[in-house]
Amino acid sequence: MKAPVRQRVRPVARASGSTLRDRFSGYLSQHRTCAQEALGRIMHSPYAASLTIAVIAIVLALPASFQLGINNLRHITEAVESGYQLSVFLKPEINADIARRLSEKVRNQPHVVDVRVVSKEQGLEQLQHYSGLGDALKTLNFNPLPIVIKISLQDRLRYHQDVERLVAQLRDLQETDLVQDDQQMNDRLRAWLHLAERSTEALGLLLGLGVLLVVGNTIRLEMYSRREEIQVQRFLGATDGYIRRPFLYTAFWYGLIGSMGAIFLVLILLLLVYGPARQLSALYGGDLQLVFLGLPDFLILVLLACSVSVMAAWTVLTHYLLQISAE
Amino acid sequence: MLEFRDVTKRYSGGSEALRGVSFSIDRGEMVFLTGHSGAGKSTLMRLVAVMERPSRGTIRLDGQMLNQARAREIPFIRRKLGLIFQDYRLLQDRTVSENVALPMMIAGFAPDIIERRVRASLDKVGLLGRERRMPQGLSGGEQQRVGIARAIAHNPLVILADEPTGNLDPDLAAEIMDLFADFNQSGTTVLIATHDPLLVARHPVRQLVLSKGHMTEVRA
Repeated sequence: MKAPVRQRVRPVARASGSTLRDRFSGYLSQHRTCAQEALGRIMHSPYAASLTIAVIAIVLALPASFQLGINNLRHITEAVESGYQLSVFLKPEINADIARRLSEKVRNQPHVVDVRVVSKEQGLEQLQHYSGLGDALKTLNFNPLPIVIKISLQDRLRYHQDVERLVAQLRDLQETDLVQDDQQMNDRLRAWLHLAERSTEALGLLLGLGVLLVVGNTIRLEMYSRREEIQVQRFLGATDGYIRRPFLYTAFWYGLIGSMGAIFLVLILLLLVYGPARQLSALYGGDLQLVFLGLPDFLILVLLACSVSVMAAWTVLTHYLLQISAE
Repeated sequence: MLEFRDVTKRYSGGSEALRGVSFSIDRGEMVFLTGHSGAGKSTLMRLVAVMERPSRGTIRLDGQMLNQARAREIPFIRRKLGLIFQDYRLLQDRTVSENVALPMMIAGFAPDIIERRVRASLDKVGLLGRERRMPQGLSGGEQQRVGIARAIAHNPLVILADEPTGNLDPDLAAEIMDLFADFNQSGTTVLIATHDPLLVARHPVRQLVLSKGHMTEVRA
């Protein structure tokens, strides 16, 4: 089915004797002038403007740095997580053949995605590598580790009861020494992270409202100081859109510069915690890699800041213009 | 081109600024609107610029009924006018040429056309060479000339001047009036509100006299 063709009604050229191209270039130059003038006005009163920008930057840096902290924690959790959620430690006397046969049996159980047998040698190697006890372990003249069967499960939250049953079965096997649920810790940590993330979102929403109010108030003050100019523009035939435009650009610049400032602040925070975080990580024998905000996070922050600012300005201006046309 | 028919303007307090006023101005005419202060001259000017609406009657500009104009049409009506104010109403933080350019910026003229017309209109009012000056640095007479240049730059249908010489000494006032007469000679429609009989006497044109809201006409 074809959508009905709608023709846009084009305003008749009102500037006498001007072509469409002239009008377009006139419109473009209006925007360019507005953007430049708005930036110039901010630069012209750096003290007043920097106060507003600093408030926006700090207000945005708060949730951004929380989010960054969460991102880093998640990064670490993911590094820890091997993908296998159950570890079955076999009794020391069980040899590799029995272990392999047992693992095949486990593989056929429902909801089991993958099974891996970790030999005594592999286990020792991993322990040396990750625990930071490498040198101490080298002094041992025998391998004290058992064979471990690692099991990866499908959507274990959904098949919770089946998994419980599987764990019970594995525990009852005579070859089994211990069944360890590796996932439980991760699940808890993830639940905490989820809570923190949700709280950050809520906080972000609240602080976003803060940006809205700060920009709205700044624009309102600027508008009152330029009341005369607005009145003159109206007498000379300016539309509400024309009057609004420079203020919207001002708000846009506030949002842009403010969010850049926020990113700068987060970067400084990150540099401040980098040293202690690395020390902490070294104590656990890890090699800490801090993640910074990626390009998408960066863009989202800037876009949100700019659009919230422009929205705030729009609301204030529309309200004000209605008010003065009623006078 | 501009026609009032039985226009009454009553304010919310009950006072009537205009009572059944009718007149018309033809294209290319120059007309004085006179009367004591408070006689309703400013009200009449404000009605033409659609800053206020009549309580009764019809106002027609260039075929368009102003009393029925919708809010979003008002800016485009004002672009047909060249408004001149007693207190000049220049933007103090813009240069002379930026002030003159303003109505054309608003109407979306192309930058090269704006530049050309700014120079042409500053030339007409004798201020060529002052483009970069700020209004504060100019005398009252010069500021009003900037106001006039701003009003004529976009080639309006009619120039509306509300007490344009009210803040000027007699010599300067006469010069400004001569300027209007010059524009009129070259075909521009001009409506000037003034309460100064000396200025009116210098120019033998039609006079609309307002007194307590009633209008009488004096032929030159």
